[in-house]
Amino acid sequence: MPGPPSPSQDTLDADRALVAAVLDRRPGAFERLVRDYQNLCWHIVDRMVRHPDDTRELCQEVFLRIHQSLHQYRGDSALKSWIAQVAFSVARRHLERKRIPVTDEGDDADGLSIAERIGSGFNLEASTADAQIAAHLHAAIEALPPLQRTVLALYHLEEMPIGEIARLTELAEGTIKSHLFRSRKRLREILETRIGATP
Amino acid sequence: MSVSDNTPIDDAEWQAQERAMRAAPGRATHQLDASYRLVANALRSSPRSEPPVDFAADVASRVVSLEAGFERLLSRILMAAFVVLSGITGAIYGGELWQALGQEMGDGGSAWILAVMACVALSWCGGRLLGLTVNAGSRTQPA
Repeated sequence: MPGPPSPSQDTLDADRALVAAVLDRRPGAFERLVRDYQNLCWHIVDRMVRHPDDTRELCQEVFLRIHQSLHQYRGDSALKSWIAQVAFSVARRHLERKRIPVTDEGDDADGLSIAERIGSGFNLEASTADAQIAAHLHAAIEALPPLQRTVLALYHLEEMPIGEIARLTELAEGTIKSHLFRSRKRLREILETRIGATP
Repeated sequence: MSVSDNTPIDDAEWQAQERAMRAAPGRATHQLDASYRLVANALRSSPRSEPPVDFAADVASRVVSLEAGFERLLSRILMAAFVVLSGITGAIYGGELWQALGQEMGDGGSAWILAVMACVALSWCGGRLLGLTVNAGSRTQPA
């Protein structure tokens, strides 16, 4: 499997310039860095913890950590990957502290399938309506374990390559591919069960 | 419903998932592709929250106040260390130094040194008092 594509030289140069400006304490430089990457950080943390207050607090922690350790940034990889890695690690530690499982362990520990967890308020008559299908799938995505939910969001919404997701989550590329495959398969099964289609 | 960790990846199904992710809007001819297109659309359109508008400014101001607090703490620690070391040095060598100065400058010398030290101490105290008064005044003024 190919590794993540290298960031362009322009991206790396822009990242290095921004980091140098922050380290030189140029007015507004750190605020610009936060503004440039706050959506990515928020997205990752929010997908992991699903709690608005915790998300805000954890994102603040992410950027404070980044500010403290910015002198360690060597500019070999994109700042985006580094920030995403810190965001993921802060969110994962938060879930571990709260003893919330980051991923499922094969069988559902609480004995509930995702289909059961998302409730049964589903209108079969109108099951082919796109909006309802989308709403049902959104609920199913929400019910996925934090890691799978985040990996799907990074791959589909942030359009991050598997290699980059593997690096920021510190998991093997094969594991990420497996999570993607299994999560999407699970969503398809939920969809087909609900609309009564045969696979 | 759960698929165990070691479920092998079916290559044909993986390709269907990837095709669906990159597919342009439209109907798929194959059932598997059609299902995965719905899944991919749902993933693309899944709601995402955004940080509050003041988030960046808020974080930046927190960093500034943390840095200022750290610098204040550091300067207080250094000042305290200076005072303690000065006291220790004075206690150990102060007597000898005082005698040596007295011998060098004669009988009136010691009195002049005391007078200069008192002037310095009074000026410093006066400066501090003035600073405190100005700060208190600026705090009580209406914005």
